[in-house]
Amino acid sequence: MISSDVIRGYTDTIILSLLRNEPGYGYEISRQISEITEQKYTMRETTLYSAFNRLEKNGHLRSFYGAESNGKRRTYYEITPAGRAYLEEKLTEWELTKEIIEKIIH
Amino acid sequence: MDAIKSYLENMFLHLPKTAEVLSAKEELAQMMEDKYNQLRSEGRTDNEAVGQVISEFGNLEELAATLGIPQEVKDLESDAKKITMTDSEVERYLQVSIENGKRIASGVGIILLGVAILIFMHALASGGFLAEKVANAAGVGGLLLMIALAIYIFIMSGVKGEKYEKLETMLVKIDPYLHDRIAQMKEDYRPAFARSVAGGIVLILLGVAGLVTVAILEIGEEFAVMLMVVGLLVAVGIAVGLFISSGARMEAYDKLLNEGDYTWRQREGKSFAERISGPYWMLIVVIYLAWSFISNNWGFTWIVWPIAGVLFGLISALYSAFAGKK
Repeated sequence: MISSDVIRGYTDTIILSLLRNEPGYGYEISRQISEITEQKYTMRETTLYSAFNRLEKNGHLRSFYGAESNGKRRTYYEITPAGRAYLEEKLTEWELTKEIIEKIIH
Repeated sequence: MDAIKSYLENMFLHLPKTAEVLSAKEELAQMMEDKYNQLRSEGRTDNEAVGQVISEFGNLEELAATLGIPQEVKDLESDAKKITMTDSEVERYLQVSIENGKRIASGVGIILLGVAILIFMHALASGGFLAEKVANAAGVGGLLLMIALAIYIFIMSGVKGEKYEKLETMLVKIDPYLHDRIAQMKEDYRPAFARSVAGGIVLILLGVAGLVTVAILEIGEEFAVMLMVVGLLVAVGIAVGLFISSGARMEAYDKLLNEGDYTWRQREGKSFAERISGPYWMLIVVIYLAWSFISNNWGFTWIVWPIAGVLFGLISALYSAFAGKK
């Protein structure tokens, strides 16, 4: 697993961007991250839950219980308009960051 | 899968059971279960799946900040504030606590009995059954004897309980299975505890009712009223004994489970009543003896005791009401 110092600053951005199109639940997000990155990055459960908690408190996410076929309830998260605005901001910031770092190190 | 559940149980064992913590635990359990099932469906063995889920779980410190409990986690991470207890130590501790509860209860009962003797002697004197001087001597002598006996009992129980004093301020760390067993014992004891408290309250109310009835209806002379005061004191003695002995047992369970008054937050200091009761009652004894010897009005000075008792209850109730608001 790569050092997650840089990634840590983008945990919220990663989660919000994966929820951009449709609501999702904890493991679904974690699996998508592993699959998209071809197992190069795995988000730990505690990191994921902390981020959900923080994003919900800041009003960037909203949670609801979805009924499951096996009778268990699962918490789903959905992006809010404020979350979308925040994501746009972070994406712009990321482009700028990438540009700056590339310019310096190349 | 059981291994994952007990891993998570262990992680959350000593955290306060707030709604936020419980919902975090529930959601983390769901995530872990999902991941386990996914790994199993990909052909991983039970061991492999459990190993991967646990190794990728993360750590509690990260969660702590979002759940608003960084201090607890730090306390749990550092062994400095924890005592680890084995099965047999826990068993011995419970036994000593229950015995000490009974000891202290009987000590307090004995002191109240001493006061009852004092008042009873005055009652006999006022009823004309005993010479005033004899009554004074017998009453004060009886009270001092009872106080001496009680102090002996308190010291004895202090010596027996000394080993476990650390539990007042430190969190207890025990095996999760033992934790569950003690939690069950506490639940099983709860009805008996409620009966003891209710019984004690009924006894006190009966004593008060008797006293008030006799005083209002003016049945008999001062003698009858004083007899009812003696009755009330005996009732209070039995009631306080019930409160202390059942309370000590509950407290022992709470200490082992880090619950009630013994969560990390509460464990910072001894209760107010506990801290002041020693000096307070010493002072009352001094006031009583000084006033009695100076005024030589032994037939009246006993009034110090019921007033001191009520005042003590009032002070600790007021203190906990205000301290609780902080």
